[in-house]
Amino acid sequence: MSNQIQHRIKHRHSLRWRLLTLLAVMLLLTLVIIGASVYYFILQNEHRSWEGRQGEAARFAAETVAAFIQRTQDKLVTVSLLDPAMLAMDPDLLKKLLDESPALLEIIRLDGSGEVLASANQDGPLLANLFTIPQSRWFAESKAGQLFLSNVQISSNGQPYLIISVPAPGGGVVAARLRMNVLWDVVAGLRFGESGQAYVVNRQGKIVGHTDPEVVLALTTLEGRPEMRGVLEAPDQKWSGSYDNFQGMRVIGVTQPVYNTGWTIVTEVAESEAFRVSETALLLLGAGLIGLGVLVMLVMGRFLSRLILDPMERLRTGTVRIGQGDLSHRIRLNRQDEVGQVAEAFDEMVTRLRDREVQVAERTQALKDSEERFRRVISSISNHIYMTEVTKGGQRIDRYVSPNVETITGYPPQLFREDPDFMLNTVVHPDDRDIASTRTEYFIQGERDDVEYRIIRANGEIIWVQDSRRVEADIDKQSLIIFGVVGDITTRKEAEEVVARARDQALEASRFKTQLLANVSHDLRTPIGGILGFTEMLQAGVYGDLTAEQQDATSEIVDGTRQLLYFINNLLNQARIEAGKILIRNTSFVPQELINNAQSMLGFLAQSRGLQLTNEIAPDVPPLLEGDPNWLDQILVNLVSNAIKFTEQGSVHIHISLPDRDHWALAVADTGPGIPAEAQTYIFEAFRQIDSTTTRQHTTGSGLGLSIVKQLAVLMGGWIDLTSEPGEGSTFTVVLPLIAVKEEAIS
Amino acid sequence: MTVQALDQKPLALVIEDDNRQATVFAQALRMADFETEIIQNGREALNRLSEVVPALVVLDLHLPEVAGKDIFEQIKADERLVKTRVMLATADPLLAESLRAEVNLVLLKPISFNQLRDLASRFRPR
Repeated sequence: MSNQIQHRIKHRHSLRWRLLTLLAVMLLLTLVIIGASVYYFILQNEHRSWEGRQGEAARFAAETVAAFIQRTQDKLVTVSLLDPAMLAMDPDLLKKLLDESPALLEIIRLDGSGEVLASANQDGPLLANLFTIPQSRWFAESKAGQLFLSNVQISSNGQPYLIISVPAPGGGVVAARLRMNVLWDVVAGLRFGESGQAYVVNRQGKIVGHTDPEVVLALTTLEGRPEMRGVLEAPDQKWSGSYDNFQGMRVIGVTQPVYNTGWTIVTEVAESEAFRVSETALLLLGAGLIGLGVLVMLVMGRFLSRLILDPMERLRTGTVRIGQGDLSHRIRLNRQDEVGQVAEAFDEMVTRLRDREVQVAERTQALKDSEERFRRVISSISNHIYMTEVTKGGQRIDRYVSPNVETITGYPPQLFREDPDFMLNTVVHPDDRDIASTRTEYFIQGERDDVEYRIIRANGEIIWVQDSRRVEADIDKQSLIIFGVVGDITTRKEAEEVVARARDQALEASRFKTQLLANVSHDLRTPIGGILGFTEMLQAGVYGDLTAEQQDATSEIVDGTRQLLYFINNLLNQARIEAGKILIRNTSFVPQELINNAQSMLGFLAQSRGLQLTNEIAPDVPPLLEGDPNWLDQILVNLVSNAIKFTEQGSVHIHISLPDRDHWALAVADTGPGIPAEAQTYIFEAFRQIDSTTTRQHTTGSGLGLSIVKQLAVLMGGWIDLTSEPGEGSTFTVVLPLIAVKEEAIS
Repeated sequence: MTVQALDQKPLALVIEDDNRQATVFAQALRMADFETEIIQNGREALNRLSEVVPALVVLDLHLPEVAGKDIFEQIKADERLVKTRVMLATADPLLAESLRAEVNLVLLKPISFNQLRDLASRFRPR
């Protein structure tokens, strides 16, 4: 595009050329019309002017000629009126008359038969000597009463003349030879311009008088010539017109009839002269107009250039420069008119374009930076990142495959770009392809889907990867875009396996421990059952009556055995709690029976230690409570055993109460040494007792009792409280939820 | 089959593999005025149960060859033994707990001689 602009516009296609041509044509047309009009006007004026002048001259000449002829006629008439006899007698009379009239060469008086009655002449008799008078036309005409003017004739001495004759009374005729000089002088006196001439034509078209006598003497006739047509057809009318005269000259001619003579004065002036002014004017006008035209064209051209073409050129070159990328260029016409506005708009556009360019450049830079960052991030992390488009038809297109794919799979990225299914069909472990395949229909927009699967690297190595992917719908294309990050998690996976194995082993060990404990306690209990049974049989006298000492001994055996049993039970219970094998089975029970059980089991022990074992049930406690009597027995036995163990003297008191509407409490208070505050927190931990150094004298315990109590309390939905002051004794209170007793249990 | 005399004591079977326990149980039952037999093997127990109709069976759940629970099921299924009372003995409190609903008495080992003697006398047929 810019290349085309760069070419200069062909000359004839240029706006300048076209505009100037148009202008020139219009101007020329206008000037031609003006010039033609003016010229025509001048021409017409001049024509009329010449016609006027010629007409004037002709009229004057005609009048002069007419007057001259009239005078001559008058003289002849006067002669005619004279008595012929007298004329004959006095020849000097005519001679005198002749002398008075220098124009007359000869004058004769004739009678009706043509006989000369009297004559006089200045250059010799001519008419008087004629024998042919009676046959003469002039004689015949005048005898008939007409004035007659003959054609010009030449005398023997070379004098031109014409014959004029008038009728005389009595059938006579007076005739005279009239010297043409006079007429010619008149004609010659008609001067106008340089080429102007006048001549007299008679009815036959013969020139009778001319500025140039030779013309007359040559007996020139104009008969048949166009200019004569009017003259001859209407001798008494004026006529004017342009024509080529008998001399071959283009002339303006004006005719004027001469009164009473049948002659016509013709004045002619050459058109070349007549229209000299017009021609000059035409020349001047033409030159002037052409000059004006050229001037106007120049001015217009300049004006056009300044007004339109130069700015257009600047616009054009500016556009070319801008098109070539020079956005700093501005047209800057600084004009208020339309062109200026165009330039301003253009500059504004370029400014905006430049701003846009700057913006684009900034954005491009930002994009580059972003991409660079992205690339660095990508290259800095070991994860492989991909973007796959799944079209509506289910076709997969890899939009992006990060170079790290090679780090992870060992295959070059091109393979993945060329075949979108390369990863799934070749790299992913055959057993894991179901997991790895992206089932887009399961995806929820924007939700992440983390899967872990194995891949077989190019070198055959099998590694674990995690594929975190997210799906976004591309609304425009009606396709799905999957963004995914694939990372090598083999190390983690191995660690997890180690941990899992360790956990399995630990669980196995724990199960084994529990089982072991269960077996051990069973195996321990069976022989204890034997010991207890045989001792009881001894006491019962199965093997004969016992002495008092023997009786005491067996009691010691039973007591010790029961204690042993108690420890074993605790051990077993702890194991069961740890294994989560405790089952709480709630049923209704009588609170007093709970106390009685403990009393029967531990009463003897308390008594043997010199302690009082007392109990109390608050009056608001209902006759039946809901709970698991087995475990409640365990709790109470543990608490009481513990109290007896640590109390030197005084009492152990069991107390059942309702601390609030939703709970009941089983409390065991002793008058022992109390538990230091710092010990109150860990006393409930398994296998812990109060610092063994301070309680060395009370090492008879597994340290499980309180731990089991606390755990059972929690399992039953309750808790254990301890209030103790060193030296003031301790009170352990197990608070348990008060569960409504079932109806049938009450009835 | 022996014909029981009018003054003959009711029969109690002690099915227990541990010698000492069996002796204690048998003694307690004798003192509760039962004729007692000790069987230490599950199979033998089943055989014996097909021959006699005991009034009381003290059954240990941990037995060799045939489990105590199977013997218990057998007793319950046998119409001849409808009147036979069963006392189960186990060292496993969970098991004891789960069987409490189905059986006359579940005793958690170790079982006190005095306790068994007192309980057994209550199970004597009148």
